[in-house]
Amino acid sequence: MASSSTAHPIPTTAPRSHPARRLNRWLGRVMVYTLLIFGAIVFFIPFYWVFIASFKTAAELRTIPPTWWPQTFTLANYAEVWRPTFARYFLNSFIYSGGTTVVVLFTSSLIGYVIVKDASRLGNFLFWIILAASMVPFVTYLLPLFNILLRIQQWFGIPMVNTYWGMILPWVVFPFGVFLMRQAMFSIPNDLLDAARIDGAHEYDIYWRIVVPLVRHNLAALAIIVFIFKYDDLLWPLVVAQRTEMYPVTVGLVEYVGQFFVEYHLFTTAAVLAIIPIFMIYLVLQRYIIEGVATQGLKG
Amino acid sequence: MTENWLPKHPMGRIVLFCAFLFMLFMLWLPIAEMFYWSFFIKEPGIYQFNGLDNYRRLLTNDPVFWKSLNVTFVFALMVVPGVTILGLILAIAVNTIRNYTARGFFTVSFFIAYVVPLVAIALVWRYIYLPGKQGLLNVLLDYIGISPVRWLNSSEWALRSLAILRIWKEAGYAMVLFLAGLQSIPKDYFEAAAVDGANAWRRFWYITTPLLMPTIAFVVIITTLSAFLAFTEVYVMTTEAGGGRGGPNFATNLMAFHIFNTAIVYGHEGYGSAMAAVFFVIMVVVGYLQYRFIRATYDY
Repeated sequence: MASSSTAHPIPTTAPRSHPARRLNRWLGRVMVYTLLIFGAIVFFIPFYWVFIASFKTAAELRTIPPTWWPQTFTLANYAEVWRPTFARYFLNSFIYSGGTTVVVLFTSSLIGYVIVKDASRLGNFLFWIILAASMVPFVTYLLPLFNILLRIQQWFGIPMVNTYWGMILPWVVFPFGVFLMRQAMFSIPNDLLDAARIDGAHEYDIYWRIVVPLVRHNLAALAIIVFIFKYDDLLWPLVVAQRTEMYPVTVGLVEYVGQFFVEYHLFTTAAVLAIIPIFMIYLVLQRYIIEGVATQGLKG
Repeated sequence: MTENWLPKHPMGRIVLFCAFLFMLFMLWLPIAEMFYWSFFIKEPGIYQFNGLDNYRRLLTNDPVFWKSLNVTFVFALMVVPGVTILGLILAIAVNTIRNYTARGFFTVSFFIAYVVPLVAIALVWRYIYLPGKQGLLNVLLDYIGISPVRWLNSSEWALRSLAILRIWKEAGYAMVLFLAGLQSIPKDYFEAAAVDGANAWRRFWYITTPLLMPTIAFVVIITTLSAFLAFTEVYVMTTEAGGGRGGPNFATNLMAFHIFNTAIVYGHEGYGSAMAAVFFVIMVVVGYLQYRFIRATYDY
């Protein structure tokens, strides 16, 4: 080994060890990290700002320039905002988005299953219609839709306005869900279903006992996404939920701000409260959410 | 590919039938009724045929409608390139990181803005956009020596403020889609190009861009659609000065909001329907152009 050091060493990492190139690479990495950290700050600052504001006193929120850290730390804002009405908004939101989620999971997987595994021209046609429906601006047919709800109420005596099922009804067939479930169904081998059919399983049992368990990860991703979307829904509840006790958080927040916008301590606190549940869900389940969203872009 | 018109199993038929029934009553009927109403003067208590007068008034004698249409297009033209380019930059930056934890951290941080409810975060941004030296953004601008901007209160900046919020919110979503797209490009391509002496920019332009085209098309379509339908920001963020929301001199009177305002808040249901009909047709045209575009890029 000693003699070999006198011979010309073979430069195994020649291009990399070139100092200029190494510096270049190092500079590139520093630039990327600087960009990303700056980006992360830009994305975090609004959350920091409102979160801090919710712990400041009303007087401190009026000081110019604003403070970066509360001078006097107070929880009084939360005590003032968290009234029974506000708690009710949360309950309504959870029932509305949770109910929509359950319904959408069921209908989407069922429609997806029928379209893919019991393929027919009509099924394909339905899929294209549903896809086209996702391009229709909701606001354009909002009022006639509400009118149809009123008619159901009149003709059949089923209350629709100010009810949870009235709020959920337009989302029963949810284009995004059908789309996602159709994708998921392609991954299920046909042989498995045929084997079950030969064994005499009923079509509904195949769907419920075999297909649903197989796509449960996709269903979980869909559930989280639908819940988060519907929690944020404003336009439809604004029309259907007309009584205060039926408001979801979004509508409640808007109404609340309508009364109190000049009172910064109240609306910042209300905004923080509205964000917290989604924030929690996101922190715990972020991997599934991001994966669920990412698969959507692959192979449209 | 499939020859049979109907599903083979009764369950499939029932599912398809129910889905079609639902689409009929919750989508096609309301849309048809919207077109029907657009030929009437329909206000609370009044319902009479008006021929094409709604359209005549809308297209020849309604500056606010044209302003709204203009503002909507400008908004989309600011948001779509902003989201796409920022999302792409972030995705490429994140994609260079090999450390698993750091990568996850940045992905999660950038994506959180997309998940959080828009109603609440629009409120937060309304607080950030406060004029004078009270809002965070003006404070930050002050640090680098730029004089304060009257964000939401100036007719010049109000729309840009909404666009900034939307770009901030949706860039993370675009990033997640692009990241999935980037990861599906085989590494060999880049290595081969590097061996052939292509620099980073050329590798990006001749390998990444063409192979990422389907994802880019998808992102553009989704963000265009959501930008055209933007409603919540206007409803939550713009001031009540001048008798209604919609910003100073209708600067942020986006179409979805304008229709909602006309048809539901002011109760001009017939006239609002005519507006909705025009908007519907515009969206169909935009959707069709994008469909052609995506078809060309996907090479179906």
